[in-house]
Amino acid sequence: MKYAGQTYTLNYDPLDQQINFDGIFRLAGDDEVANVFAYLTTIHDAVQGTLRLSFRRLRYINAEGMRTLSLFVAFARGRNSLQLLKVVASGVLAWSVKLLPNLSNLWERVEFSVYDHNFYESQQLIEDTAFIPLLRNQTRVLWPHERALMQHHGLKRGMRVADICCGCGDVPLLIARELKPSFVVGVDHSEAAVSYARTLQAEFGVHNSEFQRGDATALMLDDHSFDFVSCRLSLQIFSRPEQILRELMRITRPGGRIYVTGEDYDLIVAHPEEAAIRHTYERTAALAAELGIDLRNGRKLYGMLNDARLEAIRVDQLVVDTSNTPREDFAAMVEQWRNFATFSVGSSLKLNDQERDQLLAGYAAHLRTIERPNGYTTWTTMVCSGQKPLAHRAE
Amino acid sequence: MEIGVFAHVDPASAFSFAIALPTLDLQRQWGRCNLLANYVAEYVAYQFPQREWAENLISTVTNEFLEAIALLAPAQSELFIRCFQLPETLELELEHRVEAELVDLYMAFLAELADSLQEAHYFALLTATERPAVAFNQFGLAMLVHDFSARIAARLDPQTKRICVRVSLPTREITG
Ligand SMILES: C[S@@+](CC[C@H](N)C(=O)[O-])C[C@H]1O[C@@H](n2cnc3c(N)ncnc32)[C@H](O)[C@@H]1O
Repeated sequence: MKYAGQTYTLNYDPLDQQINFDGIFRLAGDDEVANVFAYLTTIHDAVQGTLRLSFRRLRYINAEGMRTLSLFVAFARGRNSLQLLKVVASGVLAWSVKLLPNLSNLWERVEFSVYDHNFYESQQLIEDTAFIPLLRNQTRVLWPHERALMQHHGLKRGMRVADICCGCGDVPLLIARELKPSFVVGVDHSEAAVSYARTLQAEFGVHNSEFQRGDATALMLDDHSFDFVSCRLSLQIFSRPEQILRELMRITRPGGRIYVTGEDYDLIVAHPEEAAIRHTYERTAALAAELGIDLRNGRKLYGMLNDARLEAIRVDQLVVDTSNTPREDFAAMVEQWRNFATFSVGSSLKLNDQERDQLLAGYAAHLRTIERPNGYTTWTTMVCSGQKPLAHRAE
Repeated sequence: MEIGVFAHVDPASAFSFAIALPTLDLQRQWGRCNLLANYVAEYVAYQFPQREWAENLISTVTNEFLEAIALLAPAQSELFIRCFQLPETLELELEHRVEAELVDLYMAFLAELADSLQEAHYFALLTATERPAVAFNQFGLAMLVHDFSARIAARLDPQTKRICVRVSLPTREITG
């Protein structure tokens, strides 16, 4: 059941018993207030238990909008049939964090929460400025190969491109500079990363791109508005990656392509010191898993795209190794991995000295292998893309 | 007649932005309050590293004032919007004429906002089943003080009924 105003929609999802507010909810006159109120109360009377009001994609509200919500809370309190009225705000929308908590003062059964506050386990580590050099070093190693792969997976000149979970923005900027799209937008939830991306954009002098701080599970981007939508090396941090995939689908035009990549730590191969290195990446993957990060999710991407009913799915392995990548770049990246695993993840999981030293020794072995003129090692990323069906209709 | 404190602005050193338009535009097409608030916000927030947060906040604050002005200003008058950035605050200034019969009511309300808005009054406005008999978006303006830590100052020329309202938003609110 849906209610559409001029600049907003309210959409009831019975599966979650949730009303999704979308757009700009700046209500004008008494009639509009009455219509919205009638819609909300109708839904209310069809729900038992908990009703959720989600404001994660509501860009703005005005005083009349707030007053309408307060009237609805008064109605629910009067009816006294709901167990809980959950009000969900978004940490990227200032209004929602400032105004919505007032509703909890109106009835003790209103529960206010900010959806993206601690919404995945490793958030603090990943959104830290200290994480940026790791991303930069990975891009330095990946881009020379991924550039052609992106084209092979359908990125063409003149396209509108979105890179979701873009990190510090280097890849969208490289796309803008080298692959000549008409426009690229990069979205990331990390304030530090987006700010870095904007600085980099100014340095690169790129004009046809834009960065947004946003939540990939509730993007402020229009339906069907991009030809090529990427989400690189990010699905592994989410417990429910399909939520993100759904948003990637929504913003892609029918016939457009969705491009995702993921690592697979079992495919890190090295020689010599093979056993020590293998053990180190297995250990790292196990530690990351404790924080909800899946460092073997590359192999799962095909299934995810298939479940999402994408067509013409294409998979490639992007293998960087010590023969196709400068050894010093490979080493710089592994040093960043070492720091992240032993210090960031390690501190967060309170590793003891012995465990930490073991990890450090394993990474040191990998670095030795990279430095040896005869040493060989790989890092494999799975690259997977699919086409949004032409007949796809937005729900 | 003056309410509250006008922070000193040195136009040479501060970032500033100004725009003028007929209030009739907002009155004829009310949806323009939204458009204009978003435009002002996008322009002004551009310089802040926390751009989305700043934009969202500035648009919300500006929109409430524009909606108030659409109800307060005589049709044939002009509205000036200025914005200055000071080290500790962002100052939004709105200058326009006020309908003669609303002047006293509006000034009294601004005085309450500038002085101390009672919690009970705020919640009475939020939960009111109907708008006040003489409505000029009282709740919207109260929201700015209660929820956005805005400070209000106002200067009225009783002869011309021109009012200049200053909304100061602390920088720490804008930067999240
Ligand atoms: C491992 S990084 C990958 C970044 C980038 N794609 C790259 O390869 O350099 C994952 C990124 O996802 C971002 N992220 C996490 N949750 C997000 C969300 N809900 N919405 C948008 N970005 C998110 C993090 O801030 C981080 O920058």
